[in-house]
Amino acid sequence: MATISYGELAPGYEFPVTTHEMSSSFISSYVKAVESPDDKYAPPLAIAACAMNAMTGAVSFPPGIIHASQEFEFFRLVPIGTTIICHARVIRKLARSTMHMLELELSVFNKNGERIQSGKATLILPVQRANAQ
Amino acid sequence: MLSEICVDKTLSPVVKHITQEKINSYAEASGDFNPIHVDEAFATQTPLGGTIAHGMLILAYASEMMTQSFGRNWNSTGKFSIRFKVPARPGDTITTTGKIDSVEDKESTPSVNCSIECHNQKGETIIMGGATVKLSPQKRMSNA
Repeated sequence: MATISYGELAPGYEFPVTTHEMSSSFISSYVKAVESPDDKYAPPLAIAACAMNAMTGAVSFPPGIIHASQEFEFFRLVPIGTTIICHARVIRKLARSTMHMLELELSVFNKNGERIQSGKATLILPVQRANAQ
Repeated sequence: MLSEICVDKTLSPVVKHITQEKINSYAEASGDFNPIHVDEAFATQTPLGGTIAHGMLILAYASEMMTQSFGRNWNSTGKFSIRFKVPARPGDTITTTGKIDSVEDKESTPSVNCSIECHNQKGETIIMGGATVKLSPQKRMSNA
């Protein structure tokens, strides 16, 4: 599914928009994995995980990339069964002496165009792996 | 849910034990199969020296603590800003703690600012940051 390499990513790049259904089977496996109680609404971090995947599925990230920081804001409850639409774009890409850093902006909407969630993620990567891409 | 909202009130902690099986289970659920999380042979060759838990898995524990304290207000108005400091590894016991730092009254809607932290059994900080949640206007604040 990857359509772009890490080396090609540049500030302003918009990842392909993806849609995901917050199906009961997905939510069930998610809440089991994070050991949290069931609810009739999707956990906000389950939605966030999908938004992150909107990006990671589209890019051949070098193996070993890790999370440095994360911001999220939640705007509404999301009933199970809702289809979410995820947008992501590159805000910054920095190359430092020992690591590369990538800042991404995430936005999630429902089918009515209402904002569900927004966020920013900073990912870091050891420089030798970034350069290999 | 918290019975009262006041500055310095601590949130009920959430304690979870990390295993490779749980990390694999999160990878399956989230679709994040980055080898740093699931491939021991790969991970041992990196500076991290072994597999680590997904940051989003640990953050889910922090979110659970917030939901436990603030109910659905958290799921519909919550805001997180956190830094991942040290990776969580298989075998770690992660304790997520939080405290109310301030309560603001914005347009008649109480807004609660909390500091949150996840640490392992050695006392190392895994996640550190802040969270804000808006409460229903009718929610009474003990310090109001």
